[in-house]
Amino acid sequence: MLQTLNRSVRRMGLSFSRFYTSTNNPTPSSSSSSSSQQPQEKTHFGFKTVNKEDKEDMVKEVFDSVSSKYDLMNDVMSMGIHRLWKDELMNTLNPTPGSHLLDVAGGTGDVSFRFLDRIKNSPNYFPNIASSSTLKSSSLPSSATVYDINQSMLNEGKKRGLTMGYTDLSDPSIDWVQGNSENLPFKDETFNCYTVSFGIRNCTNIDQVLREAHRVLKKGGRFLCLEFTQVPNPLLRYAYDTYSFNVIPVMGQLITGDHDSYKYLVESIRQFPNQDKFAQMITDAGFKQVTYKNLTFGVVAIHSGFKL
Amino acid sequence: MITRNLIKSIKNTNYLKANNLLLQQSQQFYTTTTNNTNNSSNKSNNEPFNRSKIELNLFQKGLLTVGSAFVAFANPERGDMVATLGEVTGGCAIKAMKEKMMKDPVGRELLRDKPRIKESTYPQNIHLLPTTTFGGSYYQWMKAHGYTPDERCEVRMVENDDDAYVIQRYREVHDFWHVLAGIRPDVQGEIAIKWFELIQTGLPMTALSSLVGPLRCPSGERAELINHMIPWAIRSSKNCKFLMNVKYEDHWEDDINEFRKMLNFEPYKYIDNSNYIKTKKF
Repeated sequence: MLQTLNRSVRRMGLSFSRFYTSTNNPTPSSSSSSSSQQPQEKTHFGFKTVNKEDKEDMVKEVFDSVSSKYDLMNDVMSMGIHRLWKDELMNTLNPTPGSHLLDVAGGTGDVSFRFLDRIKNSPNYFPNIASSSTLKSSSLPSSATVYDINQSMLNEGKKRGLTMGYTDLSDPSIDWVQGNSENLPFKDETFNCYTVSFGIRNCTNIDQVLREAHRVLKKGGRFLCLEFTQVPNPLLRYAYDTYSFNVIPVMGQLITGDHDSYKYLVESIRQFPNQDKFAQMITDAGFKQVTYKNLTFGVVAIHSGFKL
Repeated sequence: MITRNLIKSIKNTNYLKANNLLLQQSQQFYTTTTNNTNNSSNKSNNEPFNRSKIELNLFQKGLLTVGSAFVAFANPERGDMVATLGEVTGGCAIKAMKEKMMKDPVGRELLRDKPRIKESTYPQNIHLLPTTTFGGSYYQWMKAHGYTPDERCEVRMVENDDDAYVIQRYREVHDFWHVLAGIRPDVQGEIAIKWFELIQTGLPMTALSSLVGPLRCPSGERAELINHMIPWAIRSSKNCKFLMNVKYEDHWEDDINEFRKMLNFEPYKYIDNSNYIKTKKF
């Protein structure tokens, strides 16, 4: 009895081993210049170097394995502070009824649920209570679309949405769409808010993601990115690094049985460009009035840009 | 007085030298274990000991030890936590086991070839073997309880390949010890086997499980555990051969009682079977 249950849970630790070879040495990052051979472009995956085409699958594996305990681990790793960060993101966006949000890499829907709660609690929100026709005094319908490459994260989010009463038929409504953020299946100028929280560092081609964001936003639409960034203060950076590398993978192993996924998450933070560089990348994609705001001493930053 | 001490010290050094020589000789047999991947005679277990290592510093080891002990106690279904605890606290016990294995020819062979026990390494005819044989008994036992050896966690937190193999082997032969002992894989049985392993292997994790485990045992079964199973475990493990030095793969077709006699292994006889539900076997 004991061992039956033992063994069914044992598989948890094995999800990542496929990507590690016996030597466990990172391959040298050298893209070949000859056109005769197919040049395998390399990119970073945490502190390892991998082929660009493999990174997407590897990220997918990471999130498949963390999805079931994702929210719990977020609370444990950030000691609950991630809720404040997401609240601050919504305070910055300050949405009004009639807004349509695209929450990319929205995963389990944390940001989207906050968006919908704010709309519902907004003083200008008048729900449409007549089912057949639209009341003249009701506010414009609002919606949130959660977009993620990983279906298991979306499924977790859907479960939560049901308990909160948000479906695609409620007002404000929520939709769950699966796909790659580098190639959005939406028409140009569909949304007036675009957020990506803790997701853009996992994307292979960040420039492409930013260009797509620019495409689907309406004129006057706002791009917001909440992401882990570099801590400016060296002492705090040392403390933060120590905590990240020593405690987080171990907590991941204790709670979910997966050391590697959390090691990847911690390493991918270090590989992401710093606040100013990322702001420059957003400007290059066509956004105007690009600013950023550091939270928690620079552990995370909210980057904001407008499509004008 | 002085001369007597001198003579004593000379005698002692000779003894130490002889011991060292034996160690050196046995080391010669397996210095190539980590490089030797395809030269093993056992062709079916030819895979090199590939594993993805996790490097841990002292702080992480400490945190893992405490954390995994708590999680394993709170949720015994987390087999990976028990395994982690074993690996992280293994240290000296693994080295001691390795020394014992090095002194024995079968142990040296195991360390050289590093055979794994997986479903792919079962003999072709294992499903045909009768339950009077070791292999047949093992296969039927695993099938009856729905287990497979492929579910075992890989060893990842031990640096040295040989040490890692010792722990991996210990995990994989656990089921063989169940079958030889005739003990069911319920909480009560697992604790009895942990006591057995404590004396055979000396791993700190087994000590922790042995002491804390009975608290998790259902109260009705605890009496039998304490009064009969634990004394059996201590007696049996002290009398029998060092079971890590046995190549179980060579004994699939042996009669199980003969095999037990050869190992000087006393199986356990359950006291009261009448309460046990008829549907369960073994």
